[in-house]
Amino acid sequence: MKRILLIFATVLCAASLARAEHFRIELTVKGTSDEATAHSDTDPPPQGTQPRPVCHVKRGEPFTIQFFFSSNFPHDVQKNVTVRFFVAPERAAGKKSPPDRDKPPVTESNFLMDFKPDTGRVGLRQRLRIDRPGAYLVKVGSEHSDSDHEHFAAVDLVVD
Amino acid sequence: MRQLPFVVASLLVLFSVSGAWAAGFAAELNVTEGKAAQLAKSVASHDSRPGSHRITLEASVNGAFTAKWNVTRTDPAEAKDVLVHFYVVKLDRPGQAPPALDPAKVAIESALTMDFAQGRTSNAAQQFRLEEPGVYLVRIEAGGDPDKPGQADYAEIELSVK
Repeated sequence: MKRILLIFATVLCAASLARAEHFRIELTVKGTSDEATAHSDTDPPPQGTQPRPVCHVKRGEPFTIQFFFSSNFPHDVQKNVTVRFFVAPERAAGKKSPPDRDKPPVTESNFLMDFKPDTGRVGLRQRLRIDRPGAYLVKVGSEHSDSDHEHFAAVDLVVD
Repeated sequence: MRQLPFVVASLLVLFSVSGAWAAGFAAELNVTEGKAAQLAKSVASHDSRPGSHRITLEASVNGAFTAKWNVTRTDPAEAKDVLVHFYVVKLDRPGQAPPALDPAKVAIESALTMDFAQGRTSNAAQQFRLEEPGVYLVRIEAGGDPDKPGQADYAEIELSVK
């Protein structure tokens, strides 16, 4: 019985490590008086396992979003990966809610590229201003990475 | 948050193995705002004067812009750890050479590094808004090195925002 439990635990541990190894992400939202940084999370579940950091800005106040998205997979090139970044309205902050599909994103960028071990990476820095108060989801994540899961980082942006 | 000129590109190059390939890429850049659109194709760095091949798109303040770019390796030799750098920066005057990327003047900047065998492609679609009237440079560069300007193949469009 002990042996079976040991094998089960080893398999669980190996699976957990395998899920964590594809991409390393750092996403930062910085306003005049508040800042939040999120790191890599996994999908599934679709909204991840970690709570989203929250950044507050005032409406009309300029703020900056920056992300770095790097390969953390040592074994091979990950080809034709889509990296999708967007800022979109959501119903409420901190609820792990999906973006509001009825409203268009504030901004969006999509990259199609290969990720080589160690040196494959993409980064973005963008200045924005939002005039409509509300909650917004800031998210960058992988799509079509030829894996059973995807990686992302997300911040809740509250425009007061 | 780190805020330096060439912030994104510099940080990516810093961690890359080589990141500097002089030529051998074809770049295409398509910028749209509403019904207005312009397409620019690549100019090899060694046969052009800054701004001499630039085409202009007339656009509206606070318009919703989309820039779509595509970079393809044309040279038979595989290029390793190539830097692909995209940015939108405000210029002081039309036709100005690409300026230093002062974060206060850059609306959006992105960079990626990957290997390009012949025919290998990377592309992106990036949305942005420009809230002040003026002249802006939208530019995609492939194979350059931020510490040695003028080595990349590039495509660029000037935006006249009123």
